Amino acid sequence: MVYQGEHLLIGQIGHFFTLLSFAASLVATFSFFKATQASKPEDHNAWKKLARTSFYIEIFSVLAIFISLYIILYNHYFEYLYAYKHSKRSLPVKYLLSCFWEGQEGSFLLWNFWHCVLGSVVIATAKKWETPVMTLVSLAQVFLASFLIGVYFFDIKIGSNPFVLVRNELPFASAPIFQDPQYLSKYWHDGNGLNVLLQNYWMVIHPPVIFLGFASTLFPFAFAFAGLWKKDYTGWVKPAMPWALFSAALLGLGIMMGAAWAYESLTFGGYWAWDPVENASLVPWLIIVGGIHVMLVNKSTGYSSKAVYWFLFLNFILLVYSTFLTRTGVLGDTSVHSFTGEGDSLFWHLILMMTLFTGLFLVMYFKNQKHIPVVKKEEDISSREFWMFVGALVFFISAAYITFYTSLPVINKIFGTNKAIGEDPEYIYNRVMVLIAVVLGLLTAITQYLRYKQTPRSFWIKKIIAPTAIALLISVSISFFGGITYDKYGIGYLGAIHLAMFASIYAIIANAAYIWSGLKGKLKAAGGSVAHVGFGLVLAAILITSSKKEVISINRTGIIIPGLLDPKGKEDSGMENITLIQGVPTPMGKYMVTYQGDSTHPGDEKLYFKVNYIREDSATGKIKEHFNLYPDAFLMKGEGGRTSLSANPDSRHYWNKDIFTFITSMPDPSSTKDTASFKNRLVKSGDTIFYSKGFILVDQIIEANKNTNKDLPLVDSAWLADVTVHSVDGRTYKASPALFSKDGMPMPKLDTVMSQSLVLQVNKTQSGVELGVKESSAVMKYITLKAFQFPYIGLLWLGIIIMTTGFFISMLNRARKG
Amino acid sequence: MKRIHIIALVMIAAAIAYMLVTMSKDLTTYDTIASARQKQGQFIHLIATLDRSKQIEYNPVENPNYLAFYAVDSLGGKTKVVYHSAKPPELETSERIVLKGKMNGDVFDCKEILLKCPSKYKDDPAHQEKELKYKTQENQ
Repeated sequence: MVYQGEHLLIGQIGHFFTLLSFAASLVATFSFFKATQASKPEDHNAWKKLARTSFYIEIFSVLAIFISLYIILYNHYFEYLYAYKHSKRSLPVKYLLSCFWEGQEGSFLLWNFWHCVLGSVVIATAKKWETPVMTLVSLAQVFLASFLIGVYFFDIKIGSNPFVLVRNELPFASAPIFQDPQYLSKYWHDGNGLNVLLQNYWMVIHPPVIFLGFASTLFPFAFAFAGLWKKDYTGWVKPAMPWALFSAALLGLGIMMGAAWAYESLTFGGYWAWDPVENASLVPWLIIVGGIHVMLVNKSTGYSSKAVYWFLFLNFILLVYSTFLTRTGVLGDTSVHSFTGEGDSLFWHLILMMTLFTGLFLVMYFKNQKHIPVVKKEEDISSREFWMFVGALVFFISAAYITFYTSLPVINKIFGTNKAIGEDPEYIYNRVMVLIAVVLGLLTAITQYLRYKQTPRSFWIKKIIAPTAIALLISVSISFFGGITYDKYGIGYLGAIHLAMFASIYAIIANAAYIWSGLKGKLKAAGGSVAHVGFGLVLAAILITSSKKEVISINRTGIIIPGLLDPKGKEDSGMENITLIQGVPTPMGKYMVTYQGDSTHPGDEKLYFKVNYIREDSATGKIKEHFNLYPDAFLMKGEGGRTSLSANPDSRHYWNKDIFTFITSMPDPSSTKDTASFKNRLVKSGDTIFYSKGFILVDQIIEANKNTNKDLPLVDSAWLADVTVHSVDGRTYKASPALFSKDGMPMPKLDTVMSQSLVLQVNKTQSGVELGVKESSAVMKYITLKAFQFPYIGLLWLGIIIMTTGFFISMLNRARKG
Repeated sequence: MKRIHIIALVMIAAAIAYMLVTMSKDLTTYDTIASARQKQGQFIHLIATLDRSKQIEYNPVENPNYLAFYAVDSLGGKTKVVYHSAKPPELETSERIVLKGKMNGDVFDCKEILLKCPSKYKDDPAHQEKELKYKTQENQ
């Protein structure tokens, strides 16, 4: 059968290049290996030439794959599964790149692409290290390329080809519509679209950065491996240094871009949630930062000559492990993040990759272990290297702790247990990390003033006394006046927070001072100190934002009637959502907020809600703050025509805080059916009935019938209720529901109070007149939202920028000297 | 052994000891509804699905912080679930839910809900099949 309207050529080109890139990386690996092993210079050069050529072919192939896939996505060729799964016609072009990253194949392609770029830099700069380093890089490329080839090898599917056609893949292949040669023009018009959470500008730039960070972790390890291989056990550290710094910079930046994305478009109300996916990328960063310090120790003093290998090896292998955790679906029920993998095929593929690299390293390391030079003399306790190593160890321990809890699903799988992290995962991580922060902050401050080998005590004390005093002064005043009173976990934890606060301020001050006192203001050489200042800022910002984050949408069930308490008698900290009815100002924290309406924009699938915030001075009534926020949401048509909501927050930024707001619920526009029911109560004049947003005062009850009242010409009898509705915001509304009866038939006349979403009715029973009150969501437009106040979130982003700058200064400085 | 090695070992040993001590408190288990009933008041994780035959009780106008629904697990256990926060918007469309909380009598008092939603799980073949049926019906 010939299908009409398909664009098969582009897919064939793409698939050809996936195979070519795999073949080229195999040849490159082999040739770089032979070049490294060759003893004669002419052999070496011949192999190197072949290897480089293969590597260039690989670069070309990766670009060709990328372009082919882009053409498919851009032109909406939905006969291809990748386009069908990840894009659709209405998707704005600016998010087309996000379609790449959403799929697993695109992510591996991106990773592969960065290996190509970084590999080219190695070829251009690494000189004698080129061939051994590139052997390892090319070997990794073999794996990355194989994730995309999608061929069967004795019934085992290897990799997943991004160029497969929908009609060839199960379950689609069996569907009858694909028996129709004209299926494209008849049925198959549009794709599934991009996950709405990824339709955010951070998701266009965060993945390229984090994958550059991922890709870069291979290079320091490759240098370490090359050192063992070429039996030059110390010479590799210097050229590897800029790579390690680059890796730390990019990983850190990438992680925090992800955090910024989470803050701006996810609704857990923060930038970090200790989610396994976040943890998995944080761990390699912790290890590489530890690794950098161990490398520095080794380069400057010759100590830690064995530890360097382990740090860089762990860094790379834990990075592959993080991919294993997040992409194979092994995390399953523990993560909110949404990757599932290719299932078993990728699972074993990544295990094979980890095993092979681990095996290569272990064999190489233990073969050479005896020859690695070790300094016999002990480190002096007053030396810089001693405390730097301790710091690296603390990084390692924090990484191990996080890895353990993140790996629970893996542990369950191996040992057949069913353990899960307990009630308060954030606290389980935080209470350890706060202590880690104390130790790291102090070490960062103190160690900077120590010298390698040995530090004269008087010299050190003289230098460090001023920064210590200043830091103490600042942090004590923050402790006294900063209002950090986070006592949810008791006084011990609060104490640890204050201690960590001091440590991070200390790190900032001591390192900033060191740039002048120790380095005479030479910024070029001050990369380390700058990074430390940034790190201290990050720690301080994390402490402040987490301990002073405040929920301002505390719901007091709406009732603020004098003399009446909340049903529970106290503020319930769990009640963090508040419902706003359109047009009704509602008090929230120190603000009066009003939901003013919603709107859509052409070319944008989102629904924007206008929420007005006003803060008045309670004494003078003058408006002190006035702004609108536009939290938005995607309304998605799900199965069975149900609509579900995917909300994005909006924030008002101040220099010292953010007011962060997002929608948690709104009435489903497709279902306006009224599920609430009347609550009836016997009433007489002067009675009061409470409802959720205030109370109803019964002004009078009138009963009339033909016998008593001649003015009732149309009906036989009537029962009327005149009521006044007093809402919490102080407004009053009149309403008069009634019940008539004619010829024994009841004729209710309901009355509604729209803004209170109240429906009122009158009933007549044996014992008297009843007033029925219904609070119906169908009457009213409303939204439910949650709002936070985040103090000093800007400090966090500033810290990251400074830290990244520090890494780059250091990297350039070392590359220049290199 | 050098001083630095002793420090390293002591730190690692302390970390391991700390974890062993706190682990019993920090770790919980995945349970079925039946086994959760035996563990009254203990914090556990339930893996279940939404019972679509029962109504979801959520009226944000009255109380935006009260959600009640029924969950069933694969062994046929069934329980009422109460959650004191806003209804996760994708609850109705979820395919699987992980409920973290405590069994309190007959009611599961839920502290956190994790939803596994079809929209997030495009690579899941079971979901693709469903999606296909939906699409095919839509086009005919």
